Amino acid sequence: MPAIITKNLQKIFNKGKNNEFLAIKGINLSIDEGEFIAITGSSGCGKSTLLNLISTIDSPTEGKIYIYDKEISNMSDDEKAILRRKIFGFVFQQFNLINSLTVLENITMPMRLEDLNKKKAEERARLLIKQVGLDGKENNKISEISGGQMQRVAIARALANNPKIILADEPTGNLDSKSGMQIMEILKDLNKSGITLIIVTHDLNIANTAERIIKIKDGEIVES
Amino acid sequence: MIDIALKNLFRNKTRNALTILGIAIGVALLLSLVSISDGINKRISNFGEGMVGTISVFPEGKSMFISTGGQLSKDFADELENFEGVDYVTPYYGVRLQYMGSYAMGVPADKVSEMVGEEIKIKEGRMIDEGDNDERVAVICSTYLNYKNTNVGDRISILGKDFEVVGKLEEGEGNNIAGNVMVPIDALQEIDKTDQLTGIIVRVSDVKRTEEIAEDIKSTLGVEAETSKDLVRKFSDMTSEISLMTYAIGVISALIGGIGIANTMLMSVSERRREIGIMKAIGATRNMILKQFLQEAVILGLIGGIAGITLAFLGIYMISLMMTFAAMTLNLIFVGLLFSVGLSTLFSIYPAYTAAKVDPIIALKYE
Repeated sequence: MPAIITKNLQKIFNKGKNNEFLAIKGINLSIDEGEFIAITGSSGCGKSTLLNLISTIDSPTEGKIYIYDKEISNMSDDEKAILRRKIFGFVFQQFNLINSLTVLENITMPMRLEDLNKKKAEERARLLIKQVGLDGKENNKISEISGGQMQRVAIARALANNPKIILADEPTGNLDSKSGMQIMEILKDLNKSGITLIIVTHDLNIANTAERIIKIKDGEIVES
Repeated sequence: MIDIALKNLFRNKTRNALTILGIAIGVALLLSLVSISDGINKRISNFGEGMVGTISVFPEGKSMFISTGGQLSKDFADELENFEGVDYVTPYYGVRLQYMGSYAMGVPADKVSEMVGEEIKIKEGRMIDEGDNDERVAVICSTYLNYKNTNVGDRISILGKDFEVVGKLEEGEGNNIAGNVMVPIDALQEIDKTDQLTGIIVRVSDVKRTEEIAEDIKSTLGVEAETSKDLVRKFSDMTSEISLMTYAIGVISALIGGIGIANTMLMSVSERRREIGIMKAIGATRNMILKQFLQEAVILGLIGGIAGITLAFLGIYMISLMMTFAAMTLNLIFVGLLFSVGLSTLFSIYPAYTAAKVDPIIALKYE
């Protein structure tokens, strides 16, 4: 069953202005449930833009996106936010954690947004902290942990609401090779447990661990 | 997520403390003024009740509230006593005291009970009686500004002479007396070397005819004759200016406090732009972001309100040491909290709305 389908997806930045830029040029893509996909390409080719469109954080200029057969272009911003909360888990290159909160609070956040009570959210967060190997760091502030640990927190947060799809944009981009390998092992284990994994990376070694590689060049799929 | 809202408020302690101080000062100022204004209005209402069935007579063009010294003759008082519909008259002689605008009223020592009523409650000492005609004795009412600190046996200065306080009325008693201190009229006139009267209080035999008799006195004798309704109306005119000033200060303090809150919240939104983007990316809706910032505003308002009420308590306590009519009530506490929380919420709507419509894709690129 396809988890994600895109049809003639197009994204134009600064449309109608002098610096108009066609970032995604009519991409058609189908990603099955449980697949592990790597989207690769050189810097500025449009791979992160494609991930942002699939994740509903950004909106396409033209074309359609189906998430589990549901077309999302007519959804309101709030409906998309709810979809992101329920279906997706995000892992960003810059980690995107909330620095004023502790490790535990960052991980509980998606569950609190889902209206889970604080106690239950913390119970699950502690399990996830254990799962990503951050035992004892619950009450640390984000500034008190390493980059590799931050990415583990981001993965734990991504798993908070039992997502069906994990979207990871250069998840190892800011990490040393050892930490990068460890993060990839965690992500691959999650994929083995049935979660669809879509990774954007320019690192071919990482891309090669995926079941399918989608290569983007100048906003188009050149190899799939 | 009140816990997160509270935590966010502690992120910039100094800025939020200053905002809370702004709210607190606004609330304290408003409550203190409302307390005084309410107290004055209540006194006027009591005064009006106490004066039912009476007419205040004084020379044409004068006002009862600012009249002092002699303006009417004793013969005129006799003439008035025989006027149709008049039961009896009580002449008085008024002087202004040095002590913060208080007013001493000289009344005939043998007519005090007619003036204040037999059932008046005395807290300490006694009333002026027939034997006090020429004596320099005084009875203070709770409207006397230094009421709380003045006791029986103390001396107060009237026209440069010492008067011994022989009685102190219960709080709220004697509201029908225009003066704050009662003394024998003869003693007062003797010091001022006059036998003239400042005004005359007329008691009518039929309360229902008060207005009609006042009109007759006015047209026949060519003097001012004001009923309790006229007096209350005049008082109310005077106090409506105080009320207006109270509201004006309230609005100004609300604006100043509100601008402070809006500024704090806008800065907070600006500083937390990326954080808002993250929240939205992981699934927060506009309403959730809006609610988060409004919760922070409500907490700011609540803390500011509680601090303001505490300040107002102290302020009103200080005022009440001199003026018996200033008091903190449950209503005022409620008004203070409603004012501070309402103000915070109102002035945070725009910043919260700004936060709610942050575009996550732009916010995530924000450093």
